[in-house]
Amino acid sequence: MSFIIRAKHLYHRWRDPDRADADLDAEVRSYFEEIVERHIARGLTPEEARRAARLQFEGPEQVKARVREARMANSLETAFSDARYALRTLRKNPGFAFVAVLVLALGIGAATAIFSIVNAVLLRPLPYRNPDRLVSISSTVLQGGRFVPARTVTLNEVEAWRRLNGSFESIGSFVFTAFPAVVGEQPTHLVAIGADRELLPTLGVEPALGRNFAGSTSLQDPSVIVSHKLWSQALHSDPAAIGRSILLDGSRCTIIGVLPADFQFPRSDVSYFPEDPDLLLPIANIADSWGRDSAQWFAIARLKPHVSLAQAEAELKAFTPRITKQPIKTRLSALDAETTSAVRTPLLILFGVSVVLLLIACTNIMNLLLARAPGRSGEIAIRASAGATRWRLIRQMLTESFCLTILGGILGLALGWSLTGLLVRAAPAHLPVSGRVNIDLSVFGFAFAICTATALFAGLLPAMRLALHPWSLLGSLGSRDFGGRAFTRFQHALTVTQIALGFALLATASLLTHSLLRLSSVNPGFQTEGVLGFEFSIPGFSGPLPPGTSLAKHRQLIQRMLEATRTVPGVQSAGFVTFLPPETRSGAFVSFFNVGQGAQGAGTRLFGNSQVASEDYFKTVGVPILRGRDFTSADNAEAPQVAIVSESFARRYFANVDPLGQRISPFDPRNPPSEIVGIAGDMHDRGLSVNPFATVYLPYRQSVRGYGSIALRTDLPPETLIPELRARVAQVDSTVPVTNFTTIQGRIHRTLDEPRFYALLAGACGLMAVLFVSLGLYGVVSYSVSRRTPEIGVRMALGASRPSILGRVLRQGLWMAVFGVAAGMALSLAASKILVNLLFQVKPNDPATLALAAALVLAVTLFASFIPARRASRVDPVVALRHE
Amino acid sequence: MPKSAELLQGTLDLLILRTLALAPLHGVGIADRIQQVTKGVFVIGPGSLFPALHRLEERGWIEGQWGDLESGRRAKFYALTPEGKKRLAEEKRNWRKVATAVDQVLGGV
Repeated sequence: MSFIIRAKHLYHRWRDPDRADADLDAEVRSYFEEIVERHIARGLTPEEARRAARLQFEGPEQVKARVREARMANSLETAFSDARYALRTLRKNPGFAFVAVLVLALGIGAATAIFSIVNAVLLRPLPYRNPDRLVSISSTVLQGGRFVPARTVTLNEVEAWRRLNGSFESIGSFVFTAFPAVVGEQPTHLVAIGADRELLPTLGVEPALGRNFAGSTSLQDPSVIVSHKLWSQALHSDPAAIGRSILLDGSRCTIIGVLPADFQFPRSDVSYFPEDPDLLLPIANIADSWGRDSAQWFAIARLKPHVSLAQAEAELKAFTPRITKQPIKTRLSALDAETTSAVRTPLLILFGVSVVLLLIACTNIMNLLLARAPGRSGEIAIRASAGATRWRLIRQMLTESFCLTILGGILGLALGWSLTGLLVRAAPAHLPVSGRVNIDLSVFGFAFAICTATALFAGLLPAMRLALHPWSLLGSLGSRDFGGRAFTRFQHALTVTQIALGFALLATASLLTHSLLRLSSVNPGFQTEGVLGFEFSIPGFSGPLPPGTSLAKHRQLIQRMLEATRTVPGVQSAGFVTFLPPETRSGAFVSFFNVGQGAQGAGTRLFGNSQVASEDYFKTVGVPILRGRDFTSADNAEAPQVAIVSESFARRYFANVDPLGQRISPFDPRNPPSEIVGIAGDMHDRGLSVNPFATVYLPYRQSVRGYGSIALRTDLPPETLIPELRARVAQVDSTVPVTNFTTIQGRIHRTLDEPRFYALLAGACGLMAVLFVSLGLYGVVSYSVSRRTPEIGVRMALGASRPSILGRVLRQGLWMAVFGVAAGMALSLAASKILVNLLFQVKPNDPATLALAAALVLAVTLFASFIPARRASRVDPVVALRHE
Repeated sequence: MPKSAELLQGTLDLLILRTLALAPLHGVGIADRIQQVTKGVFVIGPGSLFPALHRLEERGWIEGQWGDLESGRRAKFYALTPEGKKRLAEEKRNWRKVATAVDQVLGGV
């Protein structure tokens, strides 16, 4: 009501400020005249009367100014004076202010930093035109004789969809690959995307310079579109680079376009290339040699307006099996969901963790403010009696929590800003970020929103409590018995909640850490120490061989590189392999056909991960040859074809028959078969969390084209060999780009990037949570001790021993801790399902982990209540009683 | 002008509301009345009276209207609004509590 009246006054003054002023002027003048008149009536001359009135009046202008001030009183001005007052109050309690601001800064900082990642990965739209209309098409792939869901499609399917569907504006297909290249002078290794000419228009992206591919998907076209990065680094941002040629895999290609600087390729599958692609080449150039009918291609389509994802999917599902004559199930998923599917759950869990942490921080502040309330009841009552309205009091109190949160928020934002930088550096390389992880407007808005929510949440209750019943406090002005049982119970409930949440966070962190430890203690099946490797690619390893080269030359080159490697001092052994372990994109699944007289009969399809290796490779990485023999230099193109299979391949396909001597043909039963001559130990060559695949190794002299890696074993620190290796390998052929020198240990470390990142973040939040919780408990128990000092004095005077007092107080803290841990345990068990997919060989209800977390929380909380308990036990009864 | 007693802001509001509860008055009238009733303990100058009046009006507890004095000059007369009447009752109750409490505290020392 009064609010409406106030608004009315405000409106009138705003509409006609002159009139309001004139009115005030008239009023003041009338007052003045009346005083003058009075003086005249007392017998003064008009002149004297005016002078007397003026003396009495303290100046009409000052009066008017003060009236204007009074009118302003309910707006900005009060806010400032409230803030000044609040800051003064906080300055008087620097300890309280410091702890509160620090807790808030940590809570807000952590939430802001994690939100900035969530924002960049999950919330920000993909950087394409109308990204919500983009879908990713996936199909099923024949694996182990069954059709299993894959994220890929065949190019023949794409062609059929293009011809027949009515739901898509366009469909673009692409594939990830990498090539040796020469841009300018330097031989390098480039990450490339094989793309058709519909891909960029489907995404709604146009080259910044030049043009898109023109040719159809079946014609070879020696054109490439380079990334902005490659253009600016290797081509010095030269606009004349359009039309220049580069050497890609030994063939000459013409640069026809440059991608925009902010272009990001949709990273549909994290297991391919985490690096940003350097260039796009026409998919037709590799389509035939890679196999149009193998499901290894990706497809992105743009839905027509008014066609929903479900409609389009229904249509594709209906006619795809008809065209392909195979029981293929096609699925559509929104492109943004598809690109983030792998990280969505863990990121949301982390975000949840940070929000809970903030919640704990909030309850902490609330508890601290509540605990301070009794000390302030007198002050509040006096303010109330001096005419402050309830609203005014609440606002004053809220200003205090707002001041705390603003200080905490500024500090938190700064903290979040630096944390964001740290997080980005620690984040796994393939985090599908749209744009950059940074503090943008939405992160800022988020921080602002959580600050406001925090201030209201933490401050409103204590403020209402004080402001609504200032009088009830007065009866006990100065006494310590404030609030009564209900209040104490509420405060305890708050603390128990806090402990429960803190326990849940710590349990999550412990589970993730436990899982990480489990993961890193997996026996990889190969030696991790003293093994160094590097990759190389010989031009012409894909597509038609460039003139003047032959497969024989490739193989000779590899042999010479191996020999050069073996001559480097310190190298004990060296071997060739397609992909060094562990490698997420290791090898390719190939069907082999059993052409021997195996138990399952001739012609059976066997699925294996295919790798090419040399003699001594197994020795170098410490994988045992369990039966049979290793490759030798005699396993060459002229000799009978041989193969080594992994233990699991042998077990899976030759369970009832001796695998040695069996013959298998790759791709087609009519291809010349290879005889199995050895069985090698299993290895986790796709990462520690992935079970070893059934693998077939073929000798490089019989099957390789120029791409692969060389592994070498040494006693010396592996990194010290790199310069010498580089030099000797370059002597063999300076046009072969040699890249990616890594130790096996380093490679294993990298495969753990993601679980380590999550464990680290959750761990940091968990530890902060425990810190906050112990601070909260410490505050509550200290408060209760200070409130009960006289009672403790009486007890001691009556003969209670110090240990018994200590026990009493400790028990109070312990009860809260036990209740809190029990509730937290229930909470963790209820929420355990969401963690399942993030954990490796650890159950989300793992008793040992939960017990450890419980023990830690109990220990810390016990310690937090021990400090005030000891203080209580040292109370001098004489002093305590004199206080009464 | 000598100040007879330090006036708390809330107290002045209370005094003005109480004064206007009897009849609408203009500025000088209110000051006179308060001085009279408190037997000269509180002398209200225009420097505190005007801001108080406008603050109360702002809150909707009193309302000002121009009228004529006996002398024929115009002056602004203030009257209590229904809101103001409620407020006065509340303030009275509060004041009694404060007075009692403060008395107790003072008595206890």
